[in-house]
Amino acid sequence: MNSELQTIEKHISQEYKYGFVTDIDQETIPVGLDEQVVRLISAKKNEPEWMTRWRLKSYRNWIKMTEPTWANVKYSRIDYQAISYYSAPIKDSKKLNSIDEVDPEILKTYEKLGIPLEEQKWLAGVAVDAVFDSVSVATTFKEQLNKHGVIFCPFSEAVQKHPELVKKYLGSVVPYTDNFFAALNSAVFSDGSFVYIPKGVKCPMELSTYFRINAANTGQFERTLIIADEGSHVSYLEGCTAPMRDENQLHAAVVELIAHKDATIKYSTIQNWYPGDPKTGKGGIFNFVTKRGICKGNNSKISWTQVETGSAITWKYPSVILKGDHSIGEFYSVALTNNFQQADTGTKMTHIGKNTKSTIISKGISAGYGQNTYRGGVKIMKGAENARNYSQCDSLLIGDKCGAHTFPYIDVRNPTAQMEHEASTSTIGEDQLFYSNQRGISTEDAISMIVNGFCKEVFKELPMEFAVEAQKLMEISLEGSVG
Amino acid sequence: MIMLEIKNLHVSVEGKPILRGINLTVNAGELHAIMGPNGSGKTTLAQVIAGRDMYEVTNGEIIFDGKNLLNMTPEARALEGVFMSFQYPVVIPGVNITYFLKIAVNAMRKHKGLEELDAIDFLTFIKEKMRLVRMDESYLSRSVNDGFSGGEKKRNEILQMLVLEPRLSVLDETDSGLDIDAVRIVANGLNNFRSNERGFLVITHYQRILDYIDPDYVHVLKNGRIIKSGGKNLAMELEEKGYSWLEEEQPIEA
Amino acid sequence: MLNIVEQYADEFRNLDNGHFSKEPVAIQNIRISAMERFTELGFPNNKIEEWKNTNLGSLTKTLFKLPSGKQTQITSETIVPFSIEGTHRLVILNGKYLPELSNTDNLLTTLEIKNFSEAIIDNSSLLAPYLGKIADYTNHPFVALNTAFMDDGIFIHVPDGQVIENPIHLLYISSPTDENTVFHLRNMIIVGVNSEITIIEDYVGLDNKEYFTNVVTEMAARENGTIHHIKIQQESTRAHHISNLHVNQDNASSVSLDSFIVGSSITRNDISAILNGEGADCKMNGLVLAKDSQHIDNHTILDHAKPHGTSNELFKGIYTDKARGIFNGRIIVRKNAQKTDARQTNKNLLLSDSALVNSNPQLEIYADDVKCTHGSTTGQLEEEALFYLRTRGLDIRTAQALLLHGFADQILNKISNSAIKAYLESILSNWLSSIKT
Repeated sequence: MNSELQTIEKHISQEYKYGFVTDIDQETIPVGLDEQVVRLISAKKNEPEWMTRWRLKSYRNWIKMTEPTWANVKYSRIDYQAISYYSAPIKDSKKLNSIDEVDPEILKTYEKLGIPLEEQKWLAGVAVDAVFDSVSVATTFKEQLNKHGVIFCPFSEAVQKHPELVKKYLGSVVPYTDNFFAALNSAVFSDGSFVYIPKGVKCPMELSTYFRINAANTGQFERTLIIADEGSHVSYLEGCTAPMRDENQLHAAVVELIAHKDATIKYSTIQNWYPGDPKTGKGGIFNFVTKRGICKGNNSKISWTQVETGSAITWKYPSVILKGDHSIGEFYSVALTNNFQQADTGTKMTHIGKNTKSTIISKGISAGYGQNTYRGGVKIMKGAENARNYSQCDSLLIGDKCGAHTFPYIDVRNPTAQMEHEASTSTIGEDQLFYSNQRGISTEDAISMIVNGFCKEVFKELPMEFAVEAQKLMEISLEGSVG
Repeated sequence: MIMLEIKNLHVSVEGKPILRGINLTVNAGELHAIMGPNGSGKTTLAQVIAGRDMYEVTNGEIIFDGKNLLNMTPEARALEGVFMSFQYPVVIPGVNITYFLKIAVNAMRKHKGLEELDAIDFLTFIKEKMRLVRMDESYLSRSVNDGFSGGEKKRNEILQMLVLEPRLSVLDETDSGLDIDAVRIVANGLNNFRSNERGFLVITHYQRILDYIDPDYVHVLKNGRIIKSGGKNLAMELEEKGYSWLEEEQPIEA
Repeated sequence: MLNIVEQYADEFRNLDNGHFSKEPVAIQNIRISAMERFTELGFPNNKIEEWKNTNLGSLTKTLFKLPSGKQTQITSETIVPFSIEGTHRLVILNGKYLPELSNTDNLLTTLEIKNFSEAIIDNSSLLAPYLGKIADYTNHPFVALNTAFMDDGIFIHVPDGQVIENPIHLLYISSPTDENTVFHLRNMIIVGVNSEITIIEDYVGLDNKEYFTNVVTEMAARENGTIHHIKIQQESTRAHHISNLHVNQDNASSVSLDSFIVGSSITRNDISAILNGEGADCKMNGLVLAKDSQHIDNHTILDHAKPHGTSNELFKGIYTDKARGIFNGRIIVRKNAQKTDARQTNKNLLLSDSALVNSNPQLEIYADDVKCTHGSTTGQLEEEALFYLRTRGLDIRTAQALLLHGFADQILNKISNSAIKAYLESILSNWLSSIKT
């Protein structure tokens, strides 16, 4: 192998920087799953009966379902009885009144991850909900948000304080019958974020949730529900990391978004779960997530942006149901699979209303032995007059041992639809580097120029504060010493 | 003044000798044409001067402005003022030409101890160069060589030469794949760029471009050696008679 | 009674034995094996993947006869509407070259140009490596049929190192004296090393008879050679037009193939370029304007067989009334064609609810270091754009014409010769004013 290819390989085999473990006392229930465990989780959360019943219905449905196998990913069977479904720091199992009461070890953990929870230290424009294993440990700027009528709180708190909203919307976009992992989540979900933006309110700051898996042999099953009422506007961002462990850990989340008339929801993800050992492929998170939004009212808009750099396996398809007339769905994605990572990701846009419009921009980068699959569906229903879709799907291959696969599914049932699609696959190799070198550009600059150039259409969709972070994250994964 | 001196250069690829003792001197202000049949080693010579590492230099040296080029990385050579126009320019998806050239120009300026150009000055500068090679301004927002036809790619190479202002330009078959209009544009760009400070190695398969650029010397490369050198008339002779009339057994020191 | 395929075979046997006897035996053998192949293949039907959307109708049910000896009378007035300034024009009426209406000036001093039937005798060794090899008659029934009967058409050979500055306009006029006449036209264009030429193949129908044009054009671009080829199809409304245009490209050659299709009742175009040399470049553009119940089927292939090739294909179509369009675009990148950069775009506008287009891009990639993109859209004129123009005071017809012009101009703008562009502009304007809104 020549030296330039070696340089590329070196660039892309950086160590995972968030792999430390926080040493605190945690209460973790024994492994295994049955109705008792579901009731136990519900009891720990002190949930009302309707919630417990919903969980049990989900569980009973789940045990009848089989794990899906259609995705283009390979992994050994998951033993659902070997996972603990609840783990929480002991000190935090009771209600906290202020950040000062959070375990200093946990505060330190978030500090180390670059997410200080003290409000004065954090960017003024961002409110954070920090979820540590199965519980939310802190939510910042709650008071300021309250002034605008915005509800931003842990999911468990919403069940207590806003049961009418939870009852109305929970499972309304992703029913517990939807798929195997969504059913499992509905039975055992522990925490997550709840957002409600009242009529006509433009949320005064970015909302964000930071998910951290810490305990071993546990899974994280969070649930996020965002409701944007008429004419409101919200931008939400999630980030995720986990320690390095030799065994795989399951993360099966469900996210539901509801946009009413004239409302806009922008949902961004920077996913950096532990990807597994770069040399052996051992360990890493199985990220099996169901995300879906509904544009319920006319002129509503839902926009998904994701930067997926972590996880051993990613299986997720943030989708939009375009029900309201003139509603808009967007999906912007960068998925990087390096070493032994696998990703099967994409979106599904279902056009029901008239003059609905969707945009899909997917960028897959494969390096090492990474396997990257784009799976996208665009469905134009019979009544969706003048629906429009634009899909662009680009793959970048670094080195010759990785793979990129594209499965676009298109189903048009209305002749007035306008469909446009573009696809490309390109390879970065020594040719591009030598060409750049010959123009006086160093190899390191050339790689970051090429990768950022490839991703820029997606990065520009991220909230400004996080666009920089995403770019840095890509560079961490692809940068190192030259030689 | 001597600019480039190639002495007894031997180069192999995967153990197979390609260049077998090249001697060539280019003075500032001169334009040398190197002609030869397919497989004679023309592209190898260009790539070795630019520093491609898949070629193994087994003997000899390349001196540029008194410095040994062979010890330098490709980017260091570029910063010293060596430019190569690629026979097959490389596609860099997602990176637009303006951005690419701005990084390159500013690396060059930094190396010379000059201030970096800001976006507006840079745009003014590059648009002026684009007019010289009749490239439309819409190219500025396109990715480097991405979706370019063969002819557009070659014009883009000449544009980069004009923008980076190298002292030594090595053009590897920049004239092939061009229709007659494009040949004239490329030759024009090159002629305007010639000066007493600059040297040129124009590698070509066809005599046609030499009708427009007037070389000082013409060399014939065959089987890894320069087997004949002469003036412009040599190119015309080659056009008429082909390469076979030249006896390979009489290497001529240029 | 014999079926139509057998009747064609019969025609072939019945041709006066002396008809082809002056030709080299090799050519006569090609004819015989092509006829055999045609009888084996028969007419295509919808069960064959390559023909699944095209029903040839009367073409497969009627025996179309070779042109009778009688010739229609036309004058220089007739061809005025079809003249393009600054070109050398060759007029071919019902397959026969008319020197008195042609203008070849000093062309013959720089290149060879003659009737195809003469070239297969005079230039047989020059033709041998290409004839029947660039256009494969073993798989395509109409190429086979053409190869058996080939006689009329034009041969052009540009020797090495010649740049022909003025375009050559091959004006094929169909005005048969009898109904159900077939023209098996054959063109062969060979462009030498470092040479360049622009050729316009223009098919015009003068009256309303039903006839069948079955044309095969083979082109070879040798090393570093350039061919600009522009095909204009404005046959009369009852014509059947089956066309094969195939080009073989050597190292560093550069070819553009532009097609403009407005005429005929049924058209099937097979267009292919094999980039058979390193660093070859091919641009393929097309514009289809279809109305009434026209059926226009375009099958294109860009076959990258050697490294560093570039190709860019843009096919657009406007369909109204009950017109039907098919676009089938294949890009093949063979195993050793590394560093290929191939692009394909197909855009269609449907102006009525009954118009229909099938767009089928196919990428077959066997090399691993290549860049290929394809895009395809089918839709209607944008309501919003129309509305916008109407708020600026344009009536709906003008607004529509403006948008359609814009759509079509992307193709016309690919033509650098301004006289040819003006000629195409007038065809486009006539068509736009002929359609119902």
